[in-house]
Amino acid sequence: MKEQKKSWNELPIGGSILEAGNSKNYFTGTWRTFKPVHNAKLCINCYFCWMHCPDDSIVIENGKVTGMDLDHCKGCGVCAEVCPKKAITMEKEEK
Amino acid sequence: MSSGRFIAVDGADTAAFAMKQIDPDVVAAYPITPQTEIVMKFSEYVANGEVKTRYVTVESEHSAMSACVAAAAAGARAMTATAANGLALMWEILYIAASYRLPIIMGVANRALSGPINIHGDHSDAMGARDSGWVQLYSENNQEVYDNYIMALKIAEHKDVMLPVMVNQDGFITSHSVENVEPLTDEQVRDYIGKKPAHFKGLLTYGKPVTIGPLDLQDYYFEHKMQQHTAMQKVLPVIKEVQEDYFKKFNRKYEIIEKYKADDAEMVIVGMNSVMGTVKDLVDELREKGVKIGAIKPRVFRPFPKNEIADILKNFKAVAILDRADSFGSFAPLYAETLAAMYKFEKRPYIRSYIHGLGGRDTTMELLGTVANDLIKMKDSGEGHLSEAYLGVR
Amino acid sequence: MSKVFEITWYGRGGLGAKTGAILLADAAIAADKYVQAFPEYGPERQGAPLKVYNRISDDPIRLHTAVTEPNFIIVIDPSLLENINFEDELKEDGMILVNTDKNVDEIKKRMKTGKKNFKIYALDATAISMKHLGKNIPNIAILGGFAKITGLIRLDEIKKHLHAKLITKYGEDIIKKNVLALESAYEEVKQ
Ligand code: SF4
Ligand code: SF4
Repeated sequence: MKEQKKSWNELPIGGSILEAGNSKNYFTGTWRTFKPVHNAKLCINCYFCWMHCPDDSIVIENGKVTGMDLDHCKGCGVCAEVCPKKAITMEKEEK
Repeated sequence: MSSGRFIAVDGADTAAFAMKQIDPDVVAAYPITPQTEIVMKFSEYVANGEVKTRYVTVESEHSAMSACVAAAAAGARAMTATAANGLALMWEILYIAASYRLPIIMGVANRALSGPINIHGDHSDAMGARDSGWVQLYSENNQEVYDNYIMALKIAEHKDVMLPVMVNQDGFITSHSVENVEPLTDEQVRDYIGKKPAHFKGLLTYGKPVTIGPLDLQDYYFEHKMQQHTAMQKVLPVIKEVQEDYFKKFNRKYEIIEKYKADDAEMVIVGMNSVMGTVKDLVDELREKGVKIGAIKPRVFRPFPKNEIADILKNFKAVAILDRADSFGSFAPLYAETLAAMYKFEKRPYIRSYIHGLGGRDTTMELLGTVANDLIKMKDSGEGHLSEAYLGVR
Repeated sequence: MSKVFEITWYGRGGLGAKTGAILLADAAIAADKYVQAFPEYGPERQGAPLKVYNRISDDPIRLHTAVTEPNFIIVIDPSLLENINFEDELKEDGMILVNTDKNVDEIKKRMKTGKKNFKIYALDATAISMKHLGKNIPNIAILGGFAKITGLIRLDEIKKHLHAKLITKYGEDIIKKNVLALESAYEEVKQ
């Protein structure tokens, strides 16, 4: 079924967005041709990738990089480019 | 002996005085003739500690309006003032203020746009901004400037409106003319405008952040324009309500369209701002000679009171529309919109356009007398119907 | 339509014609009149000839046009006398008040008048101002002369207004000096 968008009288006035951080609700993980693959064995947890990722998609748990949030990663490849240990490789999305 | 009702004050100082009584949270402004005196006087109030306003001196009108947008978006009562080229420089931000639905109040001392450079009164500035989404109020004299300022705040902040309001007055002709003004007391104004209404919250609601001004593309922009359109549709009833309340509280009567000796008139002269005072004197003079003439003065141009004006004008035989602005290559603004509004009737009066007073040219009794003479001829013969005249141009 | 009394002031930029007109408007409002005071705005230059207008009436004033044929002309700077075409710029039976140390017969010779009948008054407002206020601010004296000639505002009304206007900023002493200037002008103005 087609998505039903809200009409003018249901929307907040002036185009304001009334909830903070709602970009989380928008699934952008289908925009990729290449996806980043993290190799924990090579990783030294320098966080370079985390600092550079424009989509806040590097997942860190208990101080360690554990992988990427592939629901929001757009596959730009910046993380792989900046990683000093070549611990991230870009692989084709298509199997 | 003096009753002390009146103060002698020019239109610019009247505006500043009203702003002082309103005591807005933020004023951001940049000087430009003939508006300079408004913000100059207001800055004195700030310097003397007579207001609590945060006064932001900016480097251009573009910045002044931007600062007002930011302040109002943050939930502050924001005001500014400008004229002519200053208003033109604000252009893109005017649209932003209106589309974000920010109830900013701005005084405009109407002035001709350059070039050639001219600092005097005409409506080319405000008329250029007529589609920016601002409510536009017009003021014949300094008393009306004062009352419009106070009412503007109520209109702008009304929950059905939430739109910016422009209070227009003629540059120099009233902005620099001292007249009698009867102000309200500070307490009256304070009680009347009250605190900011609950629906005017802005960004600064702790714990509940919002985003104002995000990207708005094909899938939503149109809906937001529809919202603006709908808000504008609600403005006239709100203005009516505000004016009636103002009358009840302070015994000062204003209407969206003022009718002067029009009830039994065959002919009327329609126009806005200061010229209408002169027109009223002319009407009195001609009435003494038995000429059935009246005056019609719209006080609101945006939203255009199209049904109201059409219903008023439909019964006259001949109508002259005075525009203090041109629309090069088309019909003058007030004329064009009045014509469009009249189209719904099958039987319409003879009607003629007069562009007058550009660049502050004095629209004298004599010149207006020629308009009346034209009307007298036109009402029977139709001579001049739908033609466009440039009043007094050489 | 109500009867509106119109005045044109002739001065030079920066020499107080505008403040004079505003002072007159203030005083007239204090006497419960309706007023207008507004300058003719050309390019304003220090020392350049300048016209300023007043309207005074018992009823609200609605006209928003320049004054073209006033009832009264005030010439603040007598060096402008030769430049004014009184025949064109003043009503029949109009009044002219000139700030001058000469007498009316002397200034009449220098004035361009034609067939119309005028009443001309001379007042050395500058001297009065120098004597009582110690500087050349002729406006107060002009106001005294105007009150005497026209009877439009009473002397006690002006005094009361001056008191209200000046008391907090300047105090009794300055007010007394202004009142003296006002009164001597009221006595000294001559036709
Ligand atoms: S940049 Fe490379 S080494 Fe550094 S944290 Fe990221 S994956 Fe690990
Ligand atoms: S590919 Fe780009 S978006 Fe995806 S995690 Fe790496 S830096 Fe972030």
